[in-house]
Amino acid sequence: MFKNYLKIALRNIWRHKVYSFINIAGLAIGIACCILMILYIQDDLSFDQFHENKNELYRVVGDLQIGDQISRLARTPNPLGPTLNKEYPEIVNFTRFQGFDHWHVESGDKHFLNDLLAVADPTFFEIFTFPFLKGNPKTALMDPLSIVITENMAKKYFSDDEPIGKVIKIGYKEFHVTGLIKNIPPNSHIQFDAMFPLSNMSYYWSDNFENWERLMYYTYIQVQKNTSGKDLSEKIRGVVKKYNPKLNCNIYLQPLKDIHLRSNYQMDLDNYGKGSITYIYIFSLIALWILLIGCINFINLTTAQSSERATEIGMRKVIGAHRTDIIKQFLGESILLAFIALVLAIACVELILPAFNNLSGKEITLDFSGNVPIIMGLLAITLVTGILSGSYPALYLSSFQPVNVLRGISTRWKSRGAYIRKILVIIQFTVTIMLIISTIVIYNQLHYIRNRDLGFDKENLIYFPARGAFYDLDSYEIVKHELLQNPNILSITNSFPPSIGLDETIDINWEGKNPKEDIMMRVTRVDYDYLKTFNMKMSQGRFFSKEFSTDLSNYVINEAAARAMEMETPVGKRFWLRGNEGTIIGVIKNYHYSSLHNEIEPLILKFREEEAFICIRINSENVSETISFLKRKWDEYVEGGYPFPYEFLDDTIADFYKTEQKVGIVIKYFTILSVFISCIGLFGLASFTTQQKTKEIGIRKILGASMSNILLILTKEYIKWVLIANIISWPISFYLMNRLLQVYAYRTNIGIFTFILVAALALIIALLTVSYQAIKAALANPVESLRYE
Amino acid sequence: MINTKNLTKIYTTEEVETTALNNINLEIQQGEYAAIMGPSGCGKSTLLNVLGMIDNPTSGEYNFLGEEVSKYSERQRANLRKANIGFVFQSFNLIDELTVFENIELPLLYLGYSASQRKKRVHEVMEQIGIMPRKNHFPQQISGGEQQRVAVARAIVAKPKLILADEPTGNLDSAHGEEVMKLIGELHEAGTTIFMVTHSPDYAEYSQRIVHLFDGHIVSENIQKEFKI
Ligand SMILES: Nc1ncnc2c1ncn2[C@@H]1O[C@H](COP(=O)(O)OP(=O)(O)OP(=O)(O)O)[C@@H](O)[C@H]1O
Ligand SMILES: [Mg+2]
Repeated sequence: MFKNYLKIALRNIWRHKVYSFINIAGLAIGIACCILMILYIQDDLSFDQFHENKNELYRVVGDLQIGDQISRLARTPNPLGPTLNKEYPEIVNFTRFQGFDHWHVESGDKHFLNDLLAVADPTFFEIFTFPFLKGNPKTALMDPLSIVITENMAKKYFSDDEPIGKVIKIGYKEFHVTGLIKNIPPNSHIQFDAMFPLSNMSYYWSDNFENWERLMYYTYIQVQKNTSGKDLSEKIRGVVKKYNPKLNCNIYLQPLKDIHLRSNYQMDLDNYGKGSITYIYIFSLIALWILLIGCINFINLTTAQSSERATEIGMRKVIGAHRTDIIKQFLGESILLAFIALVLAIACVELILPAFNNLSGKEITLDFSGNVPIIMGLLAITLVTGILSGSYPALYLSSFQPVNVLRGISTRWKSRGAYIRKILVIIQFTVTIMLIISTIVIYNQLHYIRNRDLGFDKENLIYFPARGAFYDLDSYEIVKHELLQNPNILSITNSFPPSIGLDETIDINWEGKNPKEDIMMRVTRVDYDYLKTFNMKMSQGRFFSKEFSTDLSNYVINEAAARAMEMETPVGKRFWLRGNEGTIIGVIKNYHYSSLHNEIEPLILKFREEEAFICIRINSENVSETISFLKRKWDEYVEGGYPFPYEFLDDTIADFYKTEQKVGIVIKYFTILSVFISCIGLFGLASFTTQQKTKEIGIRKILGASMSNILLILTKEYIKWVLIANIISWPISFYLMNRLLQVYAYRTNIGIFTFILVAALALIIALLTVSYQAIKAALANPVESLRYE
Repeated sequence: MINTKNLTKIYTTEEVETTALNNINLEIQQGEYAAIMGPSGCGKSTLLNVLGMIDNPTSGEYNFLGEEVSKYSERQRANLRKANIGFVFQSFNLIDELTVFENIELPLLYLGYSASQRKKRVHEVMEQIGIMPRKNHFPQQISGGEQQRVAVARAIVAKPKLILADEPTGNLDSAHGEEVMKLIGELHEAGTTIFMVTHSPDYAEYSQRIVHLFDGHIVSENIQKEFKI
C-alpha cells in the first residue's frame, strides 16, 4: 500500500511540475529559514556554557536610583566583591573584571595598540574555565606584575618563542608572562587577549578599591553548589546601602547564562557579538511565518487542484477505502513533499551560511554528526510542516463522496475550498504587507539617523589616540602648529570626541543646589579648540579660552544641564565637580554626545588634564592625501612604528546603529522571501482559476468582450484581496512600528504616505503576478478554449 | 442476495426535492443476471448506487446478504463493499497515475493481500480478460474498449459476489461494447451475480431479467430465461 501511495505521489509531483515547484520551493525556503534560526539560537544558547562552574556563577548587577530615575547598571561598586565574599558563607569566591582596548603595549621593540587587555582578581581563572596551555590557573595572577596571554597574542608578540617569562610593557609597567591560555571562544561574553591583576588599576586609573562610589568593574561570584540564586539575591539586596547610605542602589544576581541574551544594562560589556532575546523572538516568528506561507501555498494549490484527484479519491472509496485511508494517503504525500523540501533546504542553508555568518558575526556551521538537537529539530520541523500543510487538504479531499464525484457534481465542495483559499491568501498578503511596511519604516529610521542634525558636524573628522609627541602637552602645541600649516587641515583639538570617553557622576554641586536632590551628569573632557573643530554653538557665555588662565578649572555645561539645575543664567555661578571648584563660563547648545537612542541629558565639559584624542577637521577634498600626510606625521612623532590608528567620526557613530542596520538587512531579506513565496503561490492559484474560467472567457469573447474587459474579470478578485489585506495590515503595522521606534529618543514619524506607497506596491506586485495568466487567457483563441471543454 | 422494501431516495437541493427512487421493492437472487432499463433521469444510477452502498437511501429497508444495511455507517458499508461488490462505470474511472496492473491491483491493496498474492491474482485476471500485453501502460495509452476491460478486471479482481455495472458500454463503439458484454456474460457463467444498467435493448438481451424503471418506480419486470443456480 505504501508503495502504491508513494508511486502515485511521485507521479503527481512529476505531472504537475509547476505546482510542485511552487510547493516545494516555498516549503524549502521556509524550512531553510527555520534551520538558520535553529542554528542561530543554538549558538546564542551556547554562550558562556563552557565554564565548569557555570551553574554556580552569577554576576552582581544593580538598580541605581538617582532622583526619580532608575538606571540598571552592569557594574557595581569597587568594594562589593570582597565584602560579599566575607559576609556570606554561600559565596565561595568572587572576581572583578574590566577590559580595555587601544592601550599602548610594548614587547621588545614591537608596539601594539589593538589588543584587548583585561584586569581581574587573581581568582579569575579558578572561577572561569579558560583552559591553560602553560602555567597554573590558581597562581598565574598572584604576582601583581604577572600577565596571562592567549595563544594568538603569544604568536603575534613572540612568534614561536617560549612565551612564559617574557616581558610585556603596558604604559610604564613591565609584566611577566605567567600563563598561556587557549584563545577565548567566540561564544564567551568575556573577551580578552591578555589579563593582568586588577590591583594595577590603582596605578593606571588612580583607582580606589575602598570607594563605594566608584563603579569601575563587573563583579562575578561563585556560590556553593545547591545555593538558590533567588534567595541569595534577596539577602544581598541592601548591602550597598548598608555600607554607603548615599548610594540608593539595590543589587541582585544575574545568572551567567542570562548575560548574553537577557541583559539590558547600562555600561555592559558589548565588545563581542551581544545577543538579544527580543531579536530571537522576532526573527523566529518571521522564520516560522515564511514557513507558514509556504504551507499556505501548499494548502491553496492542493485544494484548488482537488478536481484532478477527485476520480481517484472517489474510486478508492468505491473500492472500499475508508476516509482514514485517504487522510493517511494525503498526509503522507504532504510529508513526502516536506522531506523533498528539507533536502533542498539543507542545500540552501549550506549555500547561504557564509553570507549569514558575515551578517550575524557568528561562526555557525551545519554539522549533523553528534548534533542531536539539530537532527531532531529538522525532523520535527519537517513533520510539522508536512502535517500543517497536509491536514486541511487531507480532511477536505477525504470528505469527497464517491456518488458526487462520479456523477461530476462538484460545485458544493468547490465553493467551500475557494472560501478558505480566499482567507488564506488575504492572511498571506496581510503579513507580507506588514513586513514591507516594517522594512520601509526601519530604513526610514536609519535614514533619519544618518541625516539628523546632531548639533555638531560629524563629517570629515578624523580622530586618533594622543600618543608620543601628541601626548605630551608641550610638544602637542608645536605639533599642532606644524599640522595646521597643511591647508587641508582646518582645525585640531586634543579632546574626547562626542560619544567617546564619557563619564557619569552624581558628585556635583553648585550655588543654590537643593542638597536633598541628586542628579546625575555626564562629564567629558575637552580643550580650547573643541567648539570650533566640531562646529558646535554656544547658547550663553563663552567657551574655554587661552586668554583666561583660570579656565583650566572652569566649566561649560549644556542646555539640558542648565534646565536640570533650574537656572536661567548659570554663567558666573560657582560649580563643584567631584569636589573641584570652578566657575560656569558658558552654556553650550545641546548636541548629541551619544546615540539617538538616548535623550540629551545634562553634560559638563571640563578642561582635559590627561591624554585624550587628537581630533582633526579636514578638507572634504583631497582626503586620501591628507590621511597619508597625517600618517607620515604619526610615524615621525610617535616612536615604535605602530600603525596609524585613525578613525572617521561618522563611521564610529554609524557603528552605534550596527544592530539596527543588521536587523534592517535581515528583515529586508525576510520580506523579499515573503513576497516571493506569496507571489508564486498567487501565480499558481491564478493559473488554476484562469484555467477553470477558460470556457467562460471563450464565450465572453465570442459575445464581443474586449481584452481589458476580460483582464478585469480575471484580476478583480485579486485586487479585492490585496486591498482587504492592506486595510487589515495598516493598523497592526502602525501599532507595531510605533512600539519598535520607542527605543529611539529621536525618531522619524510614520506617514500615511508609507502606507499608500505599500498598498500601491502590493497591488502592482499582485497584478504583475496574475497578469501573465490573465493576458494569456485573454489572448487565447476562443474557439480553441471551447473545443477543449 | 438483495432484498429491498419500500426503498426511497429523495434528493433535496435548495430549490427542489427530487424523488429519484420511490418505494422500490426488488429481490435479486444469488447468481442472477438482471438489467435495468428506463429513460434518462428515471433513477437507474441512483438505484445502483444505493444497492452498491455508495449512497444511502432516504427511507426503506435494504437487506444485503442477510444483513440490514440501510442504517450502516460509512465504515461498515465500505467494509461490506470491498469484500463483496465490484463496480463498472460508464466513464471507466481508471486512475490516470497508475498503470493497468496497478489499477487492477488496487482493491487487493485495501483488502490487505500480500504482494505475491496480488501479483498472482492480477495476472490471472489480466489473462482472463486478455489485456496482459497492456500491463505496464497507463490508461491514456490504451483504447476505450481496453480501458473498460481494465475497469472490469478491477471490478472482479477481488472475486466479488455482485457486480454492479452502470452503462458499461455507454462510451464504447459497438465492437468494443460487444466485447465487454461478452466478458460480463462469462462472469455470470462463472457464478457472479450481475446487476447492470443499460440503454440498449440488444445488450439487455444478455440478461435473464429486465427491470423497467420509470420516474423512480419499477413499472415492469420480465423474466427472459430461467436462471440456473
Ligand atoms: N446529487 C443529486 N442531487 C440532486 N438531484 C439528483 C442527484 N443525483 C441525481 N439526482 C436526480 O435524481 C434523478 C435520478 O437520477 P439518476 O442519475 O439516477 O438517473 P438515471 O436514470 O441514471 O439517468 P441517466 O440515464 O441519464 O443516467 C434525476 O432527476 C436527477 O436529476
Ligand atoms: Mg445514470
